[in-house]
Amino acid sequence: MQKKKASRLSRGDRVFLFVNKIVLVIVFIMFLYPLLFVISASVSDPEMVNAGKVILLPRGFTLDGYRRILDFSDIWRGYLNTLYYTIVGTVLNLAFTIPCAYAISRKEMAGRNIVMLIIMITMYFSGGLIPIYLNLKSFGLLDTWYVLLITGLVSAYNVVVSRTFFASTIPLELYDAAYIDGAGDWTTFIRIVLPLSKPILAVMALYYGVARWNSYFDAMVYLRDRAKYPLQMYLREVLIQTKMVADSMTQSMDPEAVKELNRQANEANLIKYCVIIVSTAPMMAIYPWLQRFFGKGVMIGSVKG
Amino acid sequence: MKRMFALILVLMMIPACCFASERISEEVITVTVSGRSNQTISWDETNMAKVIEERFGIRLVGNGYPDDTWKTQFTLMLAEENLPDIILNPQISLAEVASYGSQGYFLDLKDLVAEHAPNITATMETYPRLRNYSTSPDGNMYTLTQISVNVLALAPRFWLNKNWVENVGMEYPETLDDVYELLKAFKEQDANGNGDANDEIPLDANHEYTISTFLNAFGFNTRQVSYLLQADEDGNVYLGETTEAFKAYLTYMKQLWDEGLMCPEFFTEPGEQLNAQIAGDTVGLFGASAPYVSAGQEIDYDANFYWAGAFTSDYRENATIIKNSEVSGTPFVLVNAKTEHAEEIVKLLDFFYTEEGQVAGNNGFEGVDFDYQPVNVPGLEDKKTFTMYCPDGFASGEAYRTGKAVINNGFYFVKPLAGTPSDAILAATNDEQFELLLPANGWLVQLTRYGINREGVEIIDAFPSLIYEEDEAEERTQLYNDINSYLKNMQTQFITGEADIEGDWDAFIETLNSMGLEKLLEIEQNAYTRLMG
Repeated sequence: MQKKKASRLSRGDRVFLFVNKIVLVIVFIMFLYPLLFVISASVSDPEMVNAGKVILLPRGFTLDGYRRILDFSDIWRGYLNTLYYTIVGTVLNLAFTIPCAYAISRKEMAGRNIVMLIIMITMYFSGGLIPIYLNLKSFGLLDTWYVLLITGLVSAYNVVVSRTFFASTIPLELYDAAYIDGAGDWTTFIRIVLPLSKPILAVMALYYGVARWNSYFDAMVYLRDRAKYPLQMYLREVLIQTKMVADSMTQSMDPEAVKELNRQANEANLIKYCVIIVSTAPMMAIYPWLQRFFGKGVMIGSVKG
Repeated sequence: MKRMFALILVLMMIPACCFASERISEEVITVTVSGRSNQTISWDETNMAKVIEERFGIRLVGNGYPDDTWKTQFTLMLAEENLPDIILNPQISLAEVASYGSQGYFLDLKDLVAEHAPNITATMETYPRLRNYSTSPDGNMYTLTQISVNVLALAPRFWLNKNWVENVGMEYPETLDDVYELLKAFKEQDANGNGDANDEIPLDANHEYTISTFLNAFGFNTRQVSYLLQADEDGNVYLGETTEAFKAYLTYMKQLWDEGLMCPEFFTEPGEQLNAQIAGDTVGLFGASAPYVSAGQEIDYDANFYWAGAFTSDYRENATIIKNSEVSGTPFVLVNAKTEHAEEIVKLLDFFYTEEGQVAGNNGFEGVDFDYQPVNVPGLEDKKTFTMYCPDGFASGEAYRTGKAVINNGFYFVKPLAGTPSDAILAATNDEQFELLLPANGWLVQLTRYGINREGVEIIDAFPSLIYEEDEAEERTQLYNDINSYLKNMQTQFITGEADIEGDWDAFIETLNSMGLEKLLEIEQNAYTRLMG
């Protein structure tokens, strides 16, 4: 069957497919190379990396970076915190976004246009960092375990995408049928709508999850206690350290200080690549599993309005 | 463990005996500290805080934040009017200090310093600019800026490979013409002696040190690479780029460029690449914090290099080193206007201006964090240097210093000379002493021997950094950013030949004027006149 189909292709089609494959391979290499480079750099001698001698394969193989990370309790604490913020945060995100979007998608809801308008306004106008900060402070939320869960609980954009999904994929007749069968609002939502909405749930989980995993700014502003920092904050410190070491090296007068700074810079460089691997691995592992929903969910949600 | 025990003993002894009289507060008071710091330990954890509590009755608590985190945190602290008592390294400009200060955020230290801080007052008499920089246009003193009394920390760092000079059979260059001849010889001959006459890069690095060293030889008293503000004898401020001397500088650099004596990536090269070239011995004359750092070698590697600079020319008759001002123009400390312990804090700050306090600011205390050792060089026995302890669990004395002893660059109001190797090195007068000091001190010795202590070398200050009033600062920033980036761009174009030094000169000056140079210079002139009094 496959073969027959292929033989029916015209010459132009075959040329197109050939060029297409080459382009795809080039794009594939372009995306794969940085990944391979980071992996190689994470197991190479940092001086080799600095001198630009690591191109694809590791040079001066060493596992010191990973060994250092294993010893570095801050990173593991950050890892646990990030898992907590991501998992609990994403569940809460879904718990608030999905019912909200569903309600707004139903024509029966009174004043839904006004609610929608109010939500849309927040997409374009923000209260600003300092007022939000003072607000959170007066609620006593600063430096707590739940402040990061509460800020960014609902993203207006994601509400719009989910609402469109509900409005466009669930036929109105289905609601009527459920109503006739005696289902109330909750039953309709939980037993009819949610099972039909797996793609949008997956997409939202991914959107929120990745955003939570990557975010550091809120943590930087609202948290004081290092024990509550997510991984990205520690990662950021490692990155900044490299730069700072370079700064102080040009100023320092003491040979031993410079040597120590050099050592720290090398170590920070090595750890930097290892941390990239360690911190992105979970996201990369999850992606393929959610990807089958991804194309579908995003496409469906993309017809706005 | 033994050392820890000794430390505890010392700490226990301190309050009991000698220091009882210097207590600042009889009851222990708590003072909060914050600021920019790249360390993750907090003040409470440092040995310095322990000693200060025992000796002075002041308990320091709080922690710093790294770079941009600090800026956000500081903005928020100001917004909620919840500043710590002491802010170190605030990373804001004098203009911003003046503005926040006049709004009542920061304590005016002027009268408190006069009354309770004899050491700060004395330092201000020695370095009057400290008072100038620290005083805001409204007459109040909201801050103190940092001071470095070690000239070796203020001089440019430009290095010439000694072996290369020998291999091409030439001498240390005194004039710009000598430099040109030397670079030419580097290019033509196998200067590094590896059998390949073509792998030498005579002059390298897009570095402040490189460009400013050449600018200095053309008579500019600057450590900048562009926007060269200068003042004539009558105190008139002008822009160096508009002078004949700058034209001569461009012509000279263009010649180096045209003849391939500069690294082709002179204007774009990243630092790592230069380091690789220094490590590979393929560059002869370059700017770097120290050769051994770039080369990844031990400090005795610096013996292979001359310090280079103080070149003379038609525009610079005497060999001259342009050093930065001892007094920095950046705010270093702020005190919360609402603090309950204003007097105690000023007394504590004053301690860091004493001889002991200057060292304590960045290295801790003798017998707790370091020991003094006499310098083992004939004729310099009266000098001493300190060596940090390195207790178990720390990789080096430096790791201990920044991991336990102090917060780096914390209460470092005066970068000292006494007790540092520089003190002994600057006192050295003969080659024998220099040779003995060289292995352990590398570039510091070379800088002193071939620069600071060289006979006939004059050391003068670079054009000072200026203080602007609030409305001036705003107007200046816009003008300055545009004009400075244009100046940088044009300097590159003139040297690489994209613009013609003679042909495009008038258009260059005209463009500068149309960008508002006159207005900008007026602001600079006013600020300069104010600073000079």
